[in-house]
Amino acid sequence: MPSALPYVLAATFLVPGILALLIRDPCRSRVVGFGGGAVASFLGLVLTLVGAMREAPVRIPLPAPVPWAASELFLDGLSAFFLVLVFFIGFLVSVYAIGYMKEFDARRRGQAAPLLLNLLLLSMAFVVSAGDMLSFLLGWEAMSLASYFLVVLNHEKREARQAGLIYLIATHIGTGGILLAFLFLVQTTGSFSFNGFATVPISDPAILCATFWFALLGFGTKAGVFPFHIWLPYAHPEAPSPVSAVMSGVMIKMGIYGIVRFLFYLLPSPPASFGATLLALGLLSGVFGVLYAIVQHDLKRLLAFHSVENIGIILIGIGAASLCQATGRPDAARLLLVGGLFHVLNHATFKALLFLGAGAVLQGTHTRNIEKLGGLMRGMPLTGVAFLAGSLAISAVPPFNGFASEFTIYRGLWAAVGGAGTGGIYLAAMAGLALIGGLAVVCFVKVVGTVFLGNARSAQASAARDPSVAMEFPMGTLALFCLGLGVFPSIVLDRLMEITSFLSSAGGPASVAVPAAGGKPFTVAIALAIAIGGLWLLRTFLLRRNGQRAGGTWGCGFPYATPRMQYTASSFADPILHVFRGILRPHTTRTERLSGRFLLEVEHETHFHDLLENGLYLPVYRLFVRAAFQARRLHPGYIHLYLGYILGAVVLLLVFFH
Amino acid sequence: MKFVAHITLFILLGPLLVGVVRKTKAFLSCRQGASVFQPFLDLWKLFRRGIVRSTSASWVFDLSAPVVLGASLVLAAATPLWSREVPLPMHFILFLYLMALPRFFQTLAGLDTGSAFGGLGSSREVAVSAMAEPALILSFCGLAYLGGADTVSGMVAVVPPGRIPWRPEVILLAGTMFLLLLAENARIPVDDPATHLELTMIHEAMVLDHAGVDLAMIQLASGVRLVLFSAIVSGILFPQALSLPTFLAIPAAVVKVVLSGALIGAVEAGMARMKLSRVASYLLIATVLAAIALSVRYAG
Repeated sequence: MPSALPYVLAATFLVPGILALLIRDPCRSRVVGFGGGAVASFLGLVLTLVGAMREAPVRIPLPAPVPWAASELFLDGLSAFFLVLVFFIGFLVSVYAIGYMKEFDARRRGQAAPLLLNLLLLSMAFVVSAGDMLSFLLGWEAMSLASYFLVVLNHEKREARQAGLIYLIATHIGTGGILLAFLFLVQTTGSFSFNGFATVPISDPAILCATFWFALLGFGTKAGVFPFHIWLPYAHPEAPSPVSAVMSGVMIKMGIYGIVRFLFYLLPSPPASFGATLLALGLLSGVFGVLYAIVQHDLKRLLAFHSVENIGIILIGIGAASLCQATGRPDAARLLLVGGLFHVLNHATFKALLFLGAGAVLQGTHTRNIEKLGGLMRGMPLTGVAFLAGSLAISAVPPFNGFASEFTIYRGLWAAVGGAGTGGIYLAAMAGLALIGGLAVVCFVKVVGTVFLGNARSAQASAARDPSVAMEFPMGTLALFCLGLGVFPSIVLDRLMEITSFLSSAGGPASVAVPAAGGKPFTVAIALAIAIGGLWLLRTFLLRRNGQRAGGTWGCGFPYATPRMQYTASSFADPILHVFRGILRPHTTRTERLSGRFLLEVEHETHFHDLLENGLYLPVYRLFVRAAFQARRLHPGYIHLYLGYILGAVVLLLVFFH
Repeated sequence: MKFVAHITLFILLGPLLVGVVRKTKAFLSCRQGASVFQPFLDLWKLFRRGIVRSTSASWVFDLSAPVVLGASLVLAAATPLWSREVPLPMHFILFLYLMALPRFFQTLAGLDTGSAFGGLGSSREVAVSAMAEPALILSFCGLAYLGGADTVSGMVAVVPPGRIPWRPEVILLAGTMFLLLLAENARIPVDDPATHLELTMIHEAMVLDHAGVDLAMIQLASGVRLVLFSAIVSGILFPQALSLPTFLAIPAAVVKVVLSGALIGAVEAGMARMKLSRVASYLLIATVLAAIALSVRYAG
């Protein structure tokens, strides 16, 4: 691979972005900026598929930013896999943004969006191909800042600014963790490059543990793993929809990339406790994520909580893989890691699709509150079909791709159970995964049912129409991939088996990605297609013979049923809420307005407070604020006092350092 | 040929099983009851009727009945009814997750008509199924252990040689699967298929706006699913019947299905429907039982 390619790619991302700033006409600026991003992403995708993936590992030296450490790009199979993710989603989202970002035309800062989005994509590509610590951190910071500015693109809104602040704090705490983890490695190995890190194992268990926990804090915050997830449900809804799609589909996966890179490449032979920790956090993220998602009414906030859930599923795969590796079950470990990584790609596909669909709904109806929607399948049939495909995929319904990866994880867990003694933890993981899957079905039946089916609950909902082709094309493509990757999973699974070949046991490739008997997704898909198609024809034939007439929905014999009498999303979620009320903690307030003895109005409000947010983060935040107020007394504004500080500091230095 | 026989048997046994359940229930409550073949007549009638399609409904509603029946038949093709050889061997995880496909479309169709009843039924249906998932996975894991195979047909059908057939974990798993059969097929004590009060229904409320052909397909699918679960439960308890030669095995399968119909009918006659909020405890019991069955394997 020629070493000039990365520079060419960077230029194709950045030049259109800068041009977009200069072009006066907002429409042309959009086309040039996002269109340039789409072209660059497509170029990157082709280069990765035909170049990097075949030739891996590829090394490209970079000019060193500092004299004492060399910089390079190092592309192995794992990097190439994540590059495909970045460029694939980047391409489709850029195309979508050409149509969607119209709403920012009137605003001056909207013109910065193409540059920021292209920068975000480029920096993510840089993160996954970085071969040393400094380039990695450089890319990581660029990614964090670009995404921060994209979140606050709606800066007129207070919520967006607040979300941006929470995100900025979270991401920097995370960067701090990553920096510390890297510094431990540098201290042990004396090298700055990833290859150098991998050669010298950390012998001191305390340092190894500290490295792992700081890396987990850093990457876990970015990924939205359970205790560190609180920024996600703020940042994803406030960002413009294409940005949410990139953030949720790709950017949080950078955290997963970091965890995999550390656990399987940089820290040779990590102890079993690391894998067990990740597995436990994965289960917690999965269950909490989906439970909080079920009670949301804000479409994008709901999807954000589902990202927490899916990151949980990915972590179950990766954590169990590490655990299996540590306990000497390499075949199960390989299957689990393959499943986790496959879910990374699948989640990117369906979550990007769902966020893009949510964007189309938002553009058509100007509301994210699903209680005000309904019946959109009539006005927005294409968006509806795509969203339904994404919903089936995220609910892990066969033959869609969400199932294909969860199935691989399940098979890995099942293979791990088969070993000696400690199978209980894997069985618990299987039961947890099953619960998560069942609850995801609840959530997406609720979403599709209240948003797209039934009758419109508001005037905006009944007036909504399908968006422009630029927005339909990415959604349609992603929907096809949701089905395609589910029916033909071996296209990706075979590649992933090669990437994870370092985990295989000495006896050769005992495990295969697609089960030989009883699990061929293609056979099942064909069987389903034949059965459902045949019955559809039978139904059509019988209806033509027997007749069909239109009539109102049965209303117990009462006429004048209105759309308000439909089942609401809150009612739909109520049985689950009732069972899990100990975790979800609904706070209900009821205010009545009386006139004499007559009840005029009742207001009923239910809120859900994130357990961690109120129990952990807010108290810590308040403590910090209080400490800051105390510290403020130290600088009251008297110049004499400041001179005194300087004098005191000099005296102290003299005392301590002679 | 065998494939056609397998599916046909499922389709024929479904209404028969429903008829047997109703007849048993009637008998135990000292009523005459309709003939066990009444469900066939009902289906025949429905297939010849036209439908009234709600003006609120979209194509999802139209597609729901074929998806529900089609997916149930695919599931049936993987279930051993009279022989270990099934037309479509299926991994047990795939089998369990494929059950979500008909549920997804059925519950969406419930919401599609814009009726509060449909929403009510759908909401309860998905909640009950979600809470049943861990128990289902764990008991299938237990079965896969016992049978030493990953496919549904392989795992219910094998008794390890030299072992007594009704070991404690076998009985526990069969019991768990029976609890799940009642929950997943909308039977008492989780749901009451015979109630006339919409507010207390789950499954029936969801299909309230389906008529004619659609309703026939959905009822047929319910029957097929009931046979499917009965086949698994009886397969656990009497795996020997699956090794018989075909001319004996098919009557044996019919007898097994009729017997499980009588058992379901007896439960329905003897119990009242549970309060809906207690269903979670019921399913938790099933989960715990499955976990105990698995732990027996570890101890032994």
